[in-house]
Amino acid sequence: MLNISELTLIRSGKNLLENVSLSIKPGQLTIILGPNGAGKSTLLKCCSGALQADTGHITLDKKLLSNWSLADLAKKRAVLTQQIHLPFALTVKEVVSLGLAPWALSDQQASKLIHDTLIEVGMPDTETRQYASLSGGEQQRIQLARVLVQLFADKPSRTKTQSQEGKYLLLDEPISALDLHQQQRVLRLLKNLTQKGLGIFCILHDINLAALYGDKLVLLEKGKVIFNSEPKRLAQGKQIETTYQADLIRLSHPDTQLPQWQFKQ
Amino acid sequence: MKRAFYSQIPYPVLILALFMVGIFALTQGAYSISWRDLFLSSMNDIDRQILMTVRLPRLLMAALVGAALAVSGALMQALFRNPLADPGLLGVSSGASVFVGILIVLNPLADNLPLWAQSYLQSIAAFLGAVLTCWLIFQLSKHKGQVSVLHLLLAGIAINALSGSATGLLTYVSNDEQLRALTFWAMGNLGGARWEQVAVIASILLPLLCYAWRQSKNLNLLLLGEEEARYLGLDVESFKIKLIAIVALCVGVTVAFTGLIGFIGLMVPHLIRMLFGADNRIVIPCSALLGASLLTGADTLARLLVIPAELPVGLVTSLLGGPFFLWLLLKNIRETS
Repeated sequence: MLNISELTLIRSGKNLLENVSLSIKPGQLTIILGPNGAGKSTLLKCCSGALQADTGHITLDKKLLSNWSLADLAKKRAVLTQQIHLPFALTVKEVVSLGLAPWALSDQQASKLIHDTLIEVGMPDTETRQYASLSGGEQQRIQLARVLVQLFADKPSRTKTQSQEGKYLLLDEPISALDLHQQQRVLRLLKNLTQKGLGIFCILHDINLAALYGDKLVLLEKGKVIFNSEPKRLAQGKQIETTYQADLIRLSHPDTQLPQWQFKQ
Repeated sequence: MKRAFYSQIPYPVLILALFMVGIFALTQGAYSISWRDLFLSSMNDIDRQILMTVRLPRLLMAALVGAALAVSGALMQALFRNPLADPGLLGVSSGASVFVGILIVLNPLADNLPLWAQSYLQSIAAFLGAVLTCWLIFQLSKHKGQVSVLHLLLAGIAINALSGSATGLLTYVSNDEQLRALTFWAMGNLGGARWEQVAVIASILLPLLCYAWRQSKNLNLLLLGEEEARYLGLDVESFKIKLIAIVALCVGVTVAFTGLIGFIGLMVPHLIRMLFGADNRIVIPCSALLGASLLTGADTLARLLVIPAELPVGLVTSLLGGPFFLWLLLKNIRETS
C-alpha cells in the first residue's frame, strides 16, 4: 500500500499541500481531481519521490519512501508525467524500451513485451516509426506503453490472470490528448490492470470519466483534501459544484446510476 | 528521417573507414611511403624511421583526440538534452585554454621539470580549467531545476568572451617566444606527437572512452528528462557530475596536448545520429570511431595542403565545421517551413 499521511508542503509562503492523508490500495484505481493549481501534480511528485514534503510522511509497503533505493523503486512503481518532449530522433521501440532500464531482459523477451504492450495501448506495429512524427495523442500512448513495460518486465510472458499485486502506477493526466475512443481504451486498460492487483494513482480532469471508472475519488482544493471516497458518495453533497465553482447540473448515469455532471449552459 | 540500408551495420563501415584513413595518413605526406611496402613490410630504413617516430604516434594521437572530442560532444548533448551542445560552443575548451595559457606565459614552475611532467602539468591545468567552466555553465544555465537552452547558450557566450579577453591579456604580456607558442597552440596542432605523449593521452582517454560507452544506457534515460530518468532508477545528480567530470577530463587533456580543435564534438555525433539513429548505445562507440577517422583525415589534409609546411589542424576542422553548421541550419529551416 502507498500510504500518505499528513503531508504538508510549503513553497514561497504558499501551502501547496496541506495535511493531505490518503492511501493508494492495490487493486484500486484512485483518481485525483481538482481545479488547476489545486496541488494534484505536486502530490504526484511527492508520491513518486521527486519532491520531499516539509512535514508528514509517505510509506510504500510500510517502508518510508525516502528509504527506498532508486533502483528498487523503479521496479516497484512507474510514473508517467505530462508531455514528454524528446530532443533527439528516437524510434517508438527505442522510447518504449527505455522503460526496461531497471531490468535485464533478453532482446527477444524485450521485443515481445514491447510488441504486446503497443497492441494494448492501441499502437500496434509502430516499433520502427519515429517518435517525433507521431501526434500528441499517439506520443502519449507510447509513453504509457513505456511505463507499462517498466512495471511488467519481470513477468514478460504475462497471461491474463497473472498477478501484478504490490506494484503501483502513478499517472499525470494520461488521457489529456486522446480522442474519445482512445480515452475509453486507456481507462478500460487501467481498470483491467487493477483487477490484477495493480494500485493506480491517476490525475484526471474529466469528472464524469473519473466517476465512471474510479474506485475511489480524491478531490483536492488549494492543497487540501475535500473529498475522499467512492464516486457514488459524490451524488449526495455539493463538493464538485463548490470546488469547481461552475454552474453544473447533476445527472445519474443511466447504466450505473453513478453521478455525472453537465454544464447548465 | 529515413535511415539508409547500412544503418544495420554501423561498425564494419566505420572500422573500414578508420582503417583506410589510417593507411592514407601513414603513407601520405611530404615524404610518401608506398602502401604496398607498408603492407608487405618491405620498407627501407628511412621509411621505417619516419613511420615509427613521426607518422604512427601522430596517427594514434589524432585518432585518440578525435574519438575523445566526438564522445565529449555526444555526452554534452545527452547531458544538456540538446543536439547543439558542444564543448567548444559552450566555452569549455576556451576555459581550459586560458589555464594552459597562464601556464605557458607565467610559467611559474614548469621549466625545471622533465618533459613528461610538463605534459601532465599542462593536462592538469587544462583539466582544472575545463572542470571550472563546465561547473560554471551548469550553474548558470539551470533554470527551475531544468537546464535551459537559452541560459546555456548565453553562459557559453559569456564564458567564451571572458576567456577571449583573458587569452588576449596573456598574449599582451607574453614575450615573442611565448606568443608564438600561444598562437600556434591556440589553433590546434598535432605536429610533434611523441610516443611519451601518446602514452599519457592513451592512459587517460581510453579508460574514459570505455566508461562513457558503458554509460550509454543511462545516457539514453537522460534523453527522457531528468525527472523521468530518476523514476527509472537513475541517480541523476551523481550521474551528471560524473558526465561533467568525463567531459572536462577529455577536453582538458586534448586541449593541453593539441590546443583548440573545434567542431568535431558537434559534427560527429550529429552525423552518426543521422546515419544510425539516436540510441546512445550506438552513438557513443560510433562517434568515437568516426571522430578518430575525421580528425586523422583532417590532420593528414593539414599536412598535405601546403607541403612542405603544414596547417594547424584546428584550422582545417573549422574549415569543415563552418559549412557543416550552415548546412545544418539551412536543412533545419527547410524542414520546419
